[in-house]
Amino acid sequence: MIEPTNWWKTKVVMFIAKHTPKCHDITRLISRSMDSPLPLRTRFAVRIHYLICVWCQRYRDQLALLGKALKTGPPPDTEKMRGGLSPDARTRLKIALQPKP
Amino acid sequence: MNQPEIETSAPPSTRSHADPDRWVDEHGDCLYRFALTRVRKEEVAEDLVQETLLVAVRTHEKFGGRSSERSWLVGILKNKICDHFRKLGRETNFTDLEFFSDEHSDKFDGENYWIHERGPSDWKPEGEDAMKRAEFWQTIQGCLAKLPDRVATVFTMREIDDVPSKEICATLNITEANLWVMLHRARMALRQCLEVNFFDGQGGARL
Repeated sequence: MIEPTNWWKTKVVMFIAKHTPKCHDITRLISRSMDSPLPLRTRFAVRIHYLICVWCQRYRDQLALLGKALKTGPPPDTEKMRGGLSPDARTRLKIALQPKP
Repeated sequence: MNQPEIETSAPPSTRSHADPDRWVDEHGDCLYRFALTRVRKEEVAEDLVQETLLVAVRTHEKFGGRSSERSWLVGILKNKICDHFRKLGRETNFTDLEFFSDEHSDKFDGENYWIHERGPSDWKPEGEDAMKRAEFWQTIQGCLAKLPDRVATVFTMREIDDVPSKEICATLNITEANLWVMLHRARMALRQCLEVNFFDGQGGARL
């Protein structure tokens, strides 16, 4: 026997799930919204969907984090750990850049 | 242009002459890493650095020290990378839709809702804390390296260099619809890769 409050809750969740895009489409829309603004209606539907879906919320936040990380880039120390030109490449470059007589 | 020995200690204002040797020593690694992140092939990155410095030798007189030497060189390199991509866009079909064509369908149920235990997990450590860890960045590098070339190029232009969608399409000669599909799949793959290799491993990189 489901309690009345839970019964209503379930009904609301079901209603929202039925009338907003499915999670699979939401992931596509989240990505799309990072490149161009979504139409107002769609944006609204996605917002409502977040109310009932923690996984789509996480997906949104995690893509945002990823985007932010890629734009900021690693701190200089971490970046330097990647190494750089090999000694050979360095020599080749210097030779190629020597002024022509 | 036959300058005497390198004057690395001289203040920038007196460095008005072209000094490619010093540029290689001071900026070479940084330029190379910048290029390598974007073009992913060592020999291509090296060529681009060389072309950049050749342009710098020719045009250094016009560079009046308005910005730092580093950002001047990076600016030239950016143009060279863009030329490189434009050329690729003309020569090859840049659309790569084969990649992850199932779009992680194993994560969704028959009605396209997340299967709860396979959906995105709760990431710990959270955002800012994760970004302080070297392993986080190493994992991102490793995950980026797994993306197919064309997808990676599109993704890098959009996410790292923040190039507007329309400009990417023009440069690579692809449609906006294809761009969106490629970006969506790249983001989905990268999120997944980061989750499996960094976050679910309790922050320990096991790439």
